[in-house]
Amino acid sequence: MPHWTLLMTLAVMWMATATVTAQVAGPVKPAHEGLEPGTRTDDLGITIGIPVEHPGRRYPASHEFPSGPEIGERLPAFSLPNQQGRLVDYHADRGDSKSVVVFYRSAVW
Amino acid sequence: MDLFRDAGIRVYGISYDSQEQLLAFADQYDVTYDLLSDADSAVIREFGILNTLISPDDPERAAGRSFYGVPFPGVYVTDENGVVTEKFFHRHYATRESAGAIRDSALGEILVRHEVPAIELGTDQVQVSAFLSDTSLKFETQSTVYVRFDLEDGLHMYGRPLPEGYIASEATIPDTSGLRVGPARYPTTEPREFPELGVTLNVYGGIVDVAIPVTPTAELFNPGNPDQPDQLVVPVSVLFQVCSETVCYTPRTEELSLSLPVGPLLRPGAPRAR
Repeated sequence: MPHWTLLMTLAVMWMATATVTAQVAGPVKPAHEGLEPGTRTDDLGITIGIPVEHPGRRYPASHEFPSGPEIGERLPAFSLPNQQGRLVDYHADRGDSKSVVVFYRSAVW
Repeated sequence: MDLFRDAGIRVYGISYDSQEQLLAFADQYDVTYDLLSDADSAVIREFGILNTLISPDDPERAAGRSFYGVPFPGVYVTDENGVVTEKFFHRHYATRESAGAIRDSALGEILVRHEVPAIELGTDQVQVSAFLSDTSLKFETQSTVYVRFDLEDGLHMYGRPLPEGYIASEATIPDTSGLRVGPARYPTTEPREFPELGVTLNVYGGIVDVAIPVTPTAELFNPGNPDQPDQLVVPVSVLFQVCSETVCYTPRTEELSLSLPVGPLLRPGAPRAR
């Protein structure tokens, strides 16, 4: 592949992933380390009733944190029970549909 | 959810909650898609997205409520083969991509719906419109303002990169209180040769969509703040010069004013409006 084609491809991929985080080798830094201990307002200005260092409020200080499989990679195979207890094999269940896979923190808190 | 079902896109949610907890949540909020229970966080670990800022021996664990095992939250969009075509991982857990933006990303096209807020500006050469990817703005949810230039046949506008002396089409959202504005994404230009001028210039023709990410922030509304606005007026500036093969019309700058409804802030445990 000529170099310019590769560069164009990389540029297009970069533009497509503007909101995607970089992967890092070292440990991820928490945002609360840069804030006053005990404060309830985080660095996005969001105020809730528990302090910023509480485990339930911990998020990275920068955009450098692991975000798993990259664009162009196939998602790993996995099987998990759904809310009704039925075991869902992701790739088999998806069949030949496009999919959206959402990892979220908790449905409880 | 109809947005995804109508587009033939399967949706899966994954968290470390138990099946019983997910069932209760699904019943409360009428969730129709699969909520998968990764109770020991094995899949979260396999994906490599375990939140390592939370330690397994955090004091909450002794209190019977462990936060250890949650992921850095995010969304993967895949094609028909399960290959990732786009992913959205934001630094802050409160920040997320809107349903409309995810849907448009999965399909690689923009869905223009009647119920989506929009504003239009017409000239003889080009119809300019600005519209939101969603029916409303939501707290820390990244939606897209699309600015669409619909050029009459045979006309073009210029795009970057461009030599000096030519005007590239632009759409921008100036600083707006309560709104975080991301970098605008422009479509790919087409190089066109102009033999009489002896130059090749980057041009757009037909329908040109500029996508500007917008996220309402805590400045607009914060948990506990009862005085949340029910709409936000977002200024949209456009600059364009339309040309035919033989003539260029006067360049124009216009200020559009897009009034966007602001959705209510969801509170944990509060029943969700439908």
